[in-house]
Amino acid sequence: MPKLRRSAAYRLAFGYTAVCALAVLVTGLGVYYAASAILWHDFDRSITQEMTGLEREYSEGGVPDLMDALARHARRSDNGFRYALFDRTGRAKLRQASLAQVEPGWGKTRLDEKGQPSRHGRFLAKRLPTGETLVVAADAHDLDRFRDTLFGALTAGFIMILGLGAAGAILFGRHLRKRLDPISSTAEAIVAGDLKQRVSVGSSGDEFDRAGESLNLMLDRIAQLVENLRQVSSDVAHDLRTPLQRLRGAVEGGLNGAQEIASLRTALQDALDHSDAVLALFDAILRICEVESGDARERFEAIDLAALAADICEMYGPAIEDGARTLICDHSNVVPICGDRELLTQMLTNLLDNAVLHTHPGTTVLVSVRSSPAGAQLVVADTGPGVPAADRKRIIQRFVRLDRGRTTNGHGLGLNLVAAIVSTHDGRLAIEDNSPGMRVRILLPAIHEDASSPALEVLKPDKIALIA
Amino acid sequence: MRILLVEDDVQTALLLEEGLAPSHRVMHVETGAEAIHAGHSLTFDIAILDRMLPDMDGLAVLHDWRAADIRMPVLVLTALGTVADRVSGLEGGADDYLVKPFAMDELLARIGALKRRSLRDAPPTHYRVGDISLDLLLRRVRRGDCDVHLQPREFDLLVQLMRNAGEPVTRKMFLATVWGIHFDPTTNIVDIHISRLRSKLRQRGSDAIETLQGVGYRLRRDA
Repeated sequence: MPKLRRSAAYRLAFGYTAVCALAVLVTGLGVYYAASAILWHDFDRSITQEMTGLEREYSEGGVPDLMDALARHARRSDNGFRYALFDRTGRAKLRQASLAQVEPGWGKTRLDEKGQPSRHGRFLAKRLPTGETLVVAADAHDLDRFRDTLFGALTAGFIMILGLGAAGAILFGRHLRKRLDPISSTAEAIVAGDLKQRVSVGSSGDEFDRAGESLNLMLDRIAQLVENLRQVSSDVAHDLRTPLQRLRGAVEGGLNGAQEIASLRTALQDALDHSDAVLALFDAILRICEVESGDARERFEAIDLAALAADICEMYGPAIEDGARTLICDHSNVVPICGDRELLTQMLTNLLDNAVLHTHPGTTVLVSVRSSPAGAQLVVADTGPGVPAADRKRIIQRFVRLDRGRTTNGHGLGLNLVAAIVSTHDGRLAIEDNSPGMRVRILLPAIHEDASSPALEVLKPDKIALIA
Repeated sequence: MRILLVEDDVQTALLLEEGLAPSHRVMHVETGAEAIHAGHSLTFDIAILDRMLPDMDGLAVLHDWRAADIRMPVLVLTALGTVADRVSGLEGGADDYLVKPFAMDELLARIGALKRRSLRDAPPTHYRVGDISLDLLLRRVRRGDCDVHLQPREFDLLVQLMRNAGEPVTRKMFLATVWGIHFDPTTNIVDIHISRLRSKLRQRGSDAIETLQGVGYRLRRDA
């Protein structure tokens, strides 16, 4: 029983049943008393009417007429009344069903008739002006029977409601438990460490299935975040070792090497450079985590991707030209998207950094922004050495660098950050063959022209002119 | 300069005091409550404010100061480095936001720039350093009697240098003010744009821009 009491499902179901039963009880009692009151009222009125009729006979012809009327009435086959008339001294002049001499007014009596069991009756007694007492009684047996039947029916109904309610409560409670238990057992399994557990979802699509689906989606997301975290920790553990080792090497070299100011300064400068490299790596990891957490979505605004690309091309143009490479920036008028300016800037700079870092002089780098039916399309392509087909999926993973010696600058997080930024913008990223070279194609959801958002207004060319 | 340093980590505070001491007077407090009190009772030229203080968020200190109309420039120096953190810091009334770990030269250059900015009531529209003059409204640069034709970003770089003439401007400051980005691209964007600016200025006179190794650039006052 305490177990039942602790179950919200049972409490709910039993509570509901109790409320229903109470309502039935109150209604039943109301019906019972109202019906009784009406019946008794009618019953009393018929006695009163009979008494009034007899009194009229008496007033017209005195006791003899009254006696006649009583005899006449008593003879009527459908007459349900019993009469008694007592004279001034209390002696019975007429007496049916052993009615006794009583004080005037209403009262209850037993009606005894020959050969029949005694019955419950009700009477009205009146003192006549000449001192006689007239008693008119009626058999209340039918009324009693009706009342008993009504009472019985109501009691049976109440008991049935209680029984059905209790049974329903138990079934309802059991059903709730059956639906909820998988959820709590899944949760318990997850608490115990098995993150792969999922709530089994039925096919009915009811509230429980929907809750189960939401829970599963939530669990998927959590599992993904946990996996990210786990991977970051292990990546950090592995990939921070190399730059930390270099840092340590620089410090150790300085301590053990020639103790001249010049070489000590060199060692310190090396150590500073290496620590900056560690910090840059650290920053990049934190940045990826920040992007993957999705917090940036709160800052999303309408941005013209074409203008952004043009700005960044202007920023990188001189550097790319100085490296004897060619930069072609090709973009249509306005390509509105919804995003975070700083992240999108970082995405493009990372791609251009890569194009500068991993190609030889003479390479052409193309940045193109176009509106396509599928969304805003950004392409950064180069005519450099490219990426072998087998590695194209791999290079967007964390810390993946294709030069095994790790001699070029960079920490192997650039493309991973690009992928994270694309994904937080609900976009798609593809690494393709530019034959020759590598082509990064990014598709971002466009803001539709018909969207009359005020933010988009700002992006229209005439408005830009106004702002400028 | 009188600097209020709000930093609860003693070792960081010592390093900062050491770095700032040669040219500035530093008062160091460790808690938000002390910082609020100091801000109300004394006058400082600048405040360096940590965010994760033992008793409150540094931004609460900043909020209190700004509410009390204490308008000294505030540089938030913190380990909270996400974009959201920086945005909330700047929206909370900070004049600059520098994420730990930082280079001492970076900090010195930034508080110098902040101080100079706060001294001016309204930002001027004309600058003149040596024989270089710059008109922000016409976006025109002249050296001696000749026009110097600059690309828009080169012009913006020169504005930063002229605003801080004789003082260092770091690469990060250029990136933030000229391009609005708060991360370091691998490609040395700043150096290449500066080198173009430098050679354009040189066509009309001596080399006006000094390179500060590992720090940034400085415009010579006697250019």
